Amino acid sequence: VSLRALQLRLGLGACVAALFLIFIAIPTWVSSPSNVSNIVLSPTFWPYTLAALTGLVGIGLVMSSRVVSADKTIHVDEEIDGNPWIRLAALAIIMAVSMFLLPRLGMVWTALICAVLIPLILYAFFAHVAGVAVPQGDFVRLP
Amino acid sequence: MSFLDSLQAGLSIVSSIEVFLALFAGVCIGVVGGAIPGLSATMAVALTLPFTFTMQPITGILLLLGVYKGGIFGGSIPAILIKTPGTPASSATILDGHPMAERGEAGRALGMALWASCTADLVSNLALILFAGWLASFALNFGPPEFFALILFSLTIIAGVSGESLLRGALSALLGLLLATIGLDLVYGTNRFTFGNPNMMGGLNFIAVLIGLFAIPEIIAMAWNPKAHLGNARALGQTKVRLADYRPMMFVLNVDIIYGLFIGLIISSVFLFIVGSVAIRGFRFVADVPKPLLMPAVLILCIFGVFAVNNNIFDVGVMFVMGWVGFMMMRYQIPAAPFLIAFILGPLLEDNFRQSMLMSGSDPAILLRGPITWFFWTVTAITVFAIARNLRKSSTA
Repeated sequence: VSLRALQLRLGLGACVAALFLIFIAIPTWVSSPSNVSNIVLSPTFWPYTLAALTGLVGIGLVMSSRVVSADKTIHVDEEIDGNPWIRLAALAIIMAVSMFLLPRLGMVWTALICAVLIPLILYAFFAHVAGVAVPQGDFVRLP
Repeated sequence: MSFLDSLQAGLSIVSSIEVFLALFAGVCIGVVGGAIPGLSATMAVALTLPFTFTMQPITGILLLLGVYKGGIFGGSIPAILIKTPGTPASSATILDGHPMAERGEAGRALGMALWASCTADLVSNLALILFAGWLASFALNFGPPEFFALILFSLTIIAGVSGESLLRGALSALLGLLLATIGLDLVYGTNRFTFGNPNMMGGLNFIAVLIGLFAIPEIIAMAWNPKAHLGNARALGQTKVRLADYRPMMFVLNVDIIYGLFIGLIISSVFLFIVGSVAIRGFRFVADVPKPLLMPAVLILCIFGVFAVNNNIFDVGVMFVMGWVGFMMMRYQIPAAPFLIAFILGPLLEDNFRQSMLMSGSDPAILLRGPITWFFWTVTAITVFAIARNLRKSSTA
């Protein structure tokens, strides 16, 4: 990914977020009493100020993306084995399941399930996708 | 009573083996307590408190003091080794310490943390002994406008921790400031981004946000690419905010206890150095544990630690969500340190601003009401000017 594209995406994202905050989020989810004497004392004043600043920073990022050299790149995701999205989805599912199970099964059992599941997924990836010979010991051998 | 008389009175009540043992035990308990993420030095003190009920006041206070001191250093152990701060005070240690541990310098990083803890501790103890009275009277001159000017100046630190891009750092800080607005409005008590959820009325838990932002992205990054380890080295000076309950008459009526505590404070620095050196030898091998084994353990530790802060499962959810936010920030090269600083300072900045406005009937002139505010506005202006100059220099280079 080029640095220019990254700055542009971030800038546009910040502008969209600022507009969302100003026109939808703050009017809907920040309540202010009708008898507020001065705007600076209103509970909405600070969020509006921050949203406006976010928009300004967004514009700044978009503008700065135009002066950044297109050759400048940031190096992420050079060599990734397997499908990273599947692993991310698996982790997200584990987190969601943990949140669902914590009040129902309790922390100890949920933690045990998560602690067993994650190493098993990692083992499955290394042993079957990446082709790494994971040492297994003599007593319990996984397929 | 002269200084020497006070010192002698203090020495007479601390010179017993019981006091020394209590202080040493306190430091040991604190180091272990602080090294457990989520337990925090404050909670370790709270857990130790019932054991002090039968003790002499000075013994009990020094035990708790040892626990607190040990806890603050202990928090830097998991911060360096597994990027999970044991206490909020060690959140800045992650930024320098963890990259060192990744380079195989875990022992050195822990040693530096110990030296920094002990020497800074000693200096602050001496400063406390010499300037406590004067500082207390000076602190009384600080009102909301002075605090607002001071916090605004503190926010300029963000420029120093923004890394390559000041704009990305500013975006990170704004995200932190926005998240800090969640909860009940402190002046009118109305809801701000609480979505009708009572758990959000008190705002997002700081520890959950902190662990979510630093520890969880490492786990997600490992799931994304198990072979390469994403992680950005960031630099930040350590900042500490301490609130003290100042009772002036205590310095007159209980001068022996006060000076006993001063002596205990200095001795505890020596104990901390001894206990810390032993703890480092034991803990530094954690850095050598393979990541596929370490990360699930870290995840479980994070869940238990965050839950333990408020006994609230909602905080675990906040941690997970912040983990994904932190991962996205990592992917988009947005530094996390400005977010953290803004999240801490944001509510203070807003509260002091609004209190100033309430005091003055919305007249902004109150923000420039005296020499303290002028001083902080001046240093803020100088810092902003220096940042702008550096930016110009780097863009022309």
